[in-house]
Amino acid sequence: MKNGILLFIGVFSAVALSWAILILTGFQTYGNLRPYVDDITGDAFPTPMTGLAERGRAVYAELGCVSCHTQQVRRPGFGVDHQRGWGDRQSVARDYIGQHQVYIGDIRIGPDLRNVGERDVPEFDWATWHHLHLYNPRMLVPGSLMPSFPYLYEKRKIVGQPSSRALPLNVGDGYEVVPTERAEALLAYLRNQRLDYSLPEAEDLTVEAWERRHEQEPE
Amino acid sequence: MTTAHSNDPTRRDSPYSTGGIAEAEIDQSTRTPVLFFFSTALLWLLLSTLLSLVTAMKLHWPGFLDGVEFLTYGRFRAAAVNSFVYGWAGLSIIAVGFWLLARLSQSKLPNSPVLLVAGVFWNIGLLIGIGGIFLGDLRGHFLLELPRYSVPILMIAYALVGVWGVMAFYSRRLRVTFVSQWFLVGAFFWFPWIYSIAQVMLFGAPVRGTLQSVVAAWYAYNVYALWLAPVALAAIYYLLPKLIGRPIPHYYLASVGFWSYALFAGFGGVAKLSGGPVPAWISTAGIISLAMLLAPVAIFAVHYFGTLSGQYQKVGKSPTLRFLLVGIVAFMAAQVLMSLLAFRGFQEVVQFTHVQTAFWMLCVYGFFSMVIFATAYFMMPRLLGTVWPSPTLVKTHFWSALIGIGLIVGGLGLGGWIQGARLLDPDIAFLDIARGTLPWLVTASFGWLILLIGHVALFLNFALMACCACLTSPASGRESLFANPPEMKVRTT
Repeated sequence: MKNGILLFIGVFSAVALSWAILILTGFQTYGNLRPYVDDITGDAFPTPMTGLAERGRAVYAELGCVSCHTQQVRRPGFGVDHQRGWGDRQSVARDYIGQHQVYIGDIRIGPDLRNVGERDVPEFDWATWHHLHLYNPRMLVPGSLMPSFPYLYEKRKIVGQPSSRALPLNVGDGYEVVPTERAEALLAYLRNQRLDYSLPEAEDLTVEAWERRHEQEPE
Repeated sequence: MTTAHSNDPTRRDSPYSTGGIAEAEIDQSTRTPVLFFFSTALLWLLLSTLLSLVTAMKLHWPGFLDGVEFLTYGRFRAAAVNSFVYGWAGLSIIAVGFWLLARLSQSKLPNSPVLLVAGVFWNIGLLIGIGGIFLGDLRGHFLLELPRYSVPILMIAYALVGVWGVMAFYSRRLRVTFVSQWFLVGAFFWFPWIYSIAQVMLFGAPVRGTLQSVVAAWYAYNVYALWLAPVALAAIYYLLPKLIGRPIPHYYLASVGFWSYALFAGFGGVAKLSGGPVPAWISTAGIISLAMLLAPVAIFAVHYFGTLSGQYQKVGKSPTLRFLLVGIVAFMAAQVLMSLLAFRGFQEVVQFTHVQTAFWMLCVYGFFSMVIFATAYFMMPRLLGTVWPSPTLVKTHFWSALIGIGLIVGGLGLGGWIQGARLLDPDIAFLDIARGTLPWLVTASFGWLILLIGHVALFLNFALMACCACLTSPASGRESLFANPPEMKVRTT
């Protein structure tokens, strides 16, 4: 170790090795995935994000949503994500190729969101429920620990006809609450989070496949 | 490879001959930059503790500072974590690193304003970055939240620091190098390398799909494993034999320990992608490397506990040793638990729970920060030529740090495990599980409050000390106050 140059080369190689093996090899093996095209219908999955959803992705980042929510469904049998209604199959690499920035997250202080666009809501329609929930989570889910995001909505005086986009809220006579463009974008992004199509590499990672395997296994 | 150990520099013909620069003179050459970096690091520590306390409270008290955009949880958390890592850790690493490098090289740090300029740039860049996070320019990858426009400033600042680090290493007067120097050179070099890769591959020319998650996981773990941890390990290797007054046993294992650590640590971060939307071999590589890391950790354990064995009565007397011992134990515990819990059976429970936060805190606070505190308690009196003014404040700091981190790691670890176990039962509603963690989250908030008290105590003590040093003449008494025991003197004739 008397030679400083050798030390530098060694130090460099050590970190270069992990980079080459994990990231470079990862890039070679799955860095250029293409959408899967259904032979019969000709549809390509996953569908690309719209411009509005892409703006919503930026809103998701700037509010720090990723610090509480994951966007990855674990396979049936590894955790109980499917029984919680978070998705009927594991999310796989190809599901994310349409996203400019990928936020799979690493902590579930709130529920997983990878399949939130497809999930049923208990009341109202999907968009209205999520708008109301963002506006004030505890209004719909008593005891919820989520922060509220009223600044994504505008309370304004009704001029003429009430807006068709106004939320079903009673905020005083002559006033209404309407989503801002950021709220609409965020919802478009969340709506885009869905796993309602199948991919060949995910066929073994669905609930059906898992239940089939479960039945075959001797008790 | 040298098999000599750092405390046998007494032979006349040895390569340890220094040509007669006194330690005090070397310290003097590092004094201004080290004080500057460390005092700003302390300010960042105070800020990040305050931000972390608010973040922790928001988790169990969602109405606290709610409904205002720039005060939302996600931004507070990003600001707290980034000011801790790039403010406190980043700046204290530079302070401790240069002091150690100069001492280990037995040469004075080249006197120049470059380092100070770098420090000013780093602080400004970070200040702009944290402000940008609150204004909503944060980005969505852990430890990479700092906005685009603050990154170049930080990079320029770090480049200046790096150049200075290389120069300090090359101007060394001792031909031999010690394990502490390898870790320091590694850390100084690894950080800019992983930082630039992450910036380019995630934001400059983003890779496609979940390969981003691989890059992000690789980076986030390596910030700890290849930047924070090596500096702390270097400090332990330097301080422990000095304080105990005996050489490190089996020192010849150090090169094996260093190189195997350097080799395996880089892979550890991807273990957390188990079951995620990435090829399975990637997380498998991470799990294997975390297990392999136990080999260097075992060597470090032999070195540290071997030096300490039979000398534990000294720990009670020296604040430096007390902090150091906590750091060593935390490091060992974190590495062993991390390797164990990486296995998929455990991952099924602890993945995505508060256990992750507990680990993070055990690593960056229980281990890294404790060792930095230890180094500061040793280094500052020698730099300032005066003793710490208040032993009570030192004690307050130690016990606050220990109890605080215990509450945070214990609370989140235990609470997170229960949370994970309950998440595996689909009959328990998610909201009930989330609310079930509330007592544990409150525990962690208390932990943060106690840490804040400790950090205020440290800051007060440091400020008092700096004032004392200004009032008394700097040169008097330093030599007699901090003379090494005779068996550790470097013979210079």
